[in-house]
Amino acid sequence: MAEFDATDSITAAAAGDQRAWDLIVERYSAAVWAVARSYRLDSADAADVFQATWLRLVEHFGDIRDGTRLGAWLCTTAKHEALNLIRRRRDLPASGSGLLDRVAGDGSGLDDRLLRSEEQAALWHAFGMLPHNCQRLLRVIFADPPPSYAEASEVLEIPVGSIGPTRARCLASLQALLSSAVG
Amino acid sequence: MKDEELGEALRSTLAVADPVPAAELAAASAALGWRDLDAQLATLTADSLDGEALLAVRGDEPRLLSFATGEVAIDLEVTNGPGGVSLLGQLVPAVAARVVVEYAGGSRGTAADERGRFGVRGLPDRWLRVRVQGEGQARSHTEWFRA
Repeated sequence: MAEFDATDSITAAAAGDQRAWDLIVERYSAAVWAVARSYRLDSADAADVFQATWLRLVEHFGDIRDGTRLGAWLCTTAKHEALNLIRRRRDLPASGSGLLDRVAGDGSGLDDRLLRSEEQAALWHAFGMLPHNCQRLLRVIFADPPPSYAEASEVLEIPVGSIGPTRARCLASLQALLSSAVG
Repeated sequence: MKDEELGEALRSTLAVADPVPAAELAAASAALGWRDLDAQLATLTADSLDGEALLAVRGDEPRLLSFATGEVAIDLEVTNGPGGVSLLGQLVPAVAARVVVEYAGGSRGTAADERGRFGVRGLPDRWLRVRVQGEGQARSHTEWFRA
């Protein structure tokens, strides 16, 4: 399979090529979903943000002249749409308000049979106990395929140079939670 | 566990525990169908939500949205209630026009009167856009919005 070329794909999709569009959706969906979920949105609201992001790309193909900007554009758009949703809804907890994360770790809305092993279940539970800023960062950089550190930096609003150290610190916290759970 | 191992375990767990729902992937694929190369895009120029603090006290005031191309503006008053979403619209300059509200799964046609006014009620609470075709004008449509 030919390697994904963002510039070629945008140009073709803008002209109506469904296959090129589907390649773009396939390449960036995990990252866009991760950004949406990183705002502590439940799956219905994350779906709203996810859908909005793709609608915006169809509206604004012409704004992306350089294919290397596509990932950053999509992640930043997902961030804007998440913030817009929070403003529109006005009944959601604001980011960083300290309220319990409704999304990760508590198994709500999640088919636990999908978790293949006790190890995965334990990891998911431990993840849900991380501070929110770690959950946000790890969700975004461990999307599959992941955004680049530059793209992650834009959406997480931290310097690119901070991502590596923060990642290490958050993984260490996750490891500590896992170890203490095993007891 | 080393960072690489833990990272890999986390990556696969995230993919299994919280994948992009298949229905959302299908909708994203279908989004390309909304591309309209012959229409001008009326972009959002004002949103009454912009002036409010993030945790403003909830009221039932209608939301005001303004969209514009270089030539026409479409002002909307958007309300969301038990009967669905309602739009009250004003075209600037004020002209009679054919108006269609589009959304996934359907559309509603109406007309703007000679003073450029139109109204639609009972719309679904989804992403919406308004398409306008005034006589002698290029076709335009707003950016997607929702209540």
